Amino acid sequence: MKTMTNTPAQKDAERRPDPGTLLSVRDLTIEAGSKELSVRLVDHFSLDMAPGDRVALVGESGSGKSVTARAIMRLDPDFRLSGTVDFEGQDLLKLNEKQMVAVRGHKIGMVFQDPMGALNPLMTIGEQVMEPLRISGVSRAESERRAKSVLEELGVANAESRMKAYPHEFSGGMRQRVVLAMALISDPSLIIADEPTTALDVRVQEQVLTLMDKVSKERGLAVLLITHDLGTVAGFTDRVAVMYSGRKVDEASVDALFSNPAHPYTQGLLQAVPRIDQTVPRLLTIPGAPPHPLNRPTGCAFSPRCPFAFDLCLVESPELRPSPEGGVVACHLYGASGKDEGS
Amino acid sequence: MSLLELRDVCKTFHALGREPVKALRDVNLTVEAGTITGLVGESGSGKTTIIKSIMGLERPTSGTVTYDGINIPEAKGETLKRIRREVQFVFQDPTSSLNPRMTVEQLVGEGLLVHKLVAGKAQRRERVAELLTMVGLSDRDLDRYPRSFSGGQRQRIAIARALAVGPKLLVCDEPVSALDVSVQAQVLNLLQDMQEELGFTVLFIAHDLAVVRQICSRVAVIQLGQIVEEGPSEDVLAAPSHPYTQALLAAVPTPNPAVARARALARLQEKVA
Repeated sequence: MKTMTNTPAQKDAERRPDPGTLLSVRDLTIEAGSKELSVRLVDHFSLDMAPGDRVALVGESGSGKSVTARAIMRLDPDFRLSGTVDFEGQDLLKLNEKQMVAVRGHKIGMVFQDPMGALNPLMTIGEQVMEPLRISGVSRAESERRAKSVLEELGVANAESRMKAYPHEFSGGMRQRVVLAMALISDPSLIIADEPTTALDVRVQEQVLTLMDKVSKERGLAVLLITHDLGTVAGFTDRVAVMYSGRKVDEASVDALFSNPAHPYTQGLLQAVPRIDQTVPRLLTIPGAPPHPLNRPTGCAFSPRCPFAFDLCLVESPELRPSPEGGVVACHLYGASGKDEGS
Repeated sequence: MSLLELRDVCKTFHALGREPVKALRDVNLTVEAGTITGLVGESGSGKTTIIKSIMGLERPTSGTVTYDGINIPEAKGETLKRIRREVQFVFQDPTSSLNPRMTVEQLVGEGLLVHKLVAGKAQRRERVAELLTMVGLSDRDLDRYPRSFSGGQRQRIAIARALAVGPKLLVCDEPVSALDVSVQAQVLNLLQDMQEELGFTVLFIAHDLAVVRQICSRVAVIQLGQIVEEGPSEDVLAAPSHPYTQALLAAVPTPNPAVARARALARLQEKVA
């Protein structure tokens, strides 16, 4: 019944995610700046998450990973967004600000990198954890009860008395638990965590990740984890999407991505991680730096840094195609017009 | 031969109405000339107090901090000036350690003028251009400001600035922990290359044991102001004897999904049992 004409309506219907999807981002494009000088920060980004899915979004600074996460929550009103962000059956990009407030912090929770920056130093921990409930009109007594229970769930001892304390009285790891409690208290179905452990010591990082692992499994909570550190991804997520210069260039199951990374950029990222279980005389690096969004090279944005780049890479930007490991990859090494298989 | 030596260093901070804080307790640390020595510890372990005592910014309550036979807190005049030149620092966050209103030439060349290592501005410019090339930047960057560089490039500027005055000891305080993984590898390789080429000594402070294993020949582990383990990094990290070192090692993330999941499962079972 599908014809090749592809009217907009039909195209729309084809794109409609199946009902089992929690979040479906389609061709999300983010632009900043004026109409005269517009910068495309993110270009046709798509991602699907089922309920309970744990997906990592990995990339270097400036790759667009945080901007993407913030756009899902519509946190940057100055950016021009196009595409669709279907969440629980509604397109978040079509909601007005008032409707969006009902989603933010209620249906989607968010955890930021720096817990001290995310907490108000003049409000008690209890007030801040309760805030999402109080805003939606839950009584103070009920809010307090739920705040206490979620803090206990996250391993904050003496939760009742600690709720009267201020952020500066908490250690970094404890603050991150408080931020997590704020995100969890309204019982969201999705948490977006932007570098939640980067500012923490290794042992505290491990505790926070273990906690997020446990809580998300128990609650059937979907987690979108944004990070530049592939090490933290391995034990926690099911799937990894890699971003480079505003585009998704690689996506695969966590096992496939680590054992057989498809995109040369992913291969480079993995080799650059110092390993505790092996020493090499010299770390392998990806030469150069990511391009500025105003100054992307023609063809594949990664081609100037890519050891496998050939003539096609310099002229044509590769589309996402199925990769040999069952994911998708945007690289001419896997293309019909290039060689059949990557090295 | 040891270049830097901390002997029985204690430092206690007093505050009104509070228990005194013992930041350092009998710390003994030796940094051999020509090596990269790692110092590993978490927030609050006393790493910063050690750095401040090496800089002469904190006077130890007891014990001695000696650089090349000189007791740092006692140093004055020419001796102090010599230490200020020979001991250089690279900090964690290059955004806050570089003055945003100075150009790269001014930043990297500041020490050259202060210590009168160049005859004039023309010679300074020439020397700074050489240093920039050495750390992987170029003479085109001389008149740019820190804001127009990426984090990794800024850290290269900070390294060039430290190396400009020909230091014998480079103290690096978490120099790569604020950087992306791919950039981190570039900066680590640069430090390693520079050290091999110029032969200076490095005290490398970090919390990431995998990084320490990669570049340090010796490592000391500090917990709550006490050195709990010290030795060749191969030995310490392959077979740690102190429970704290073992705990730190067990928390290092593994880029191997099967191993990481097995470890996560083990941790959960530990909690149940």
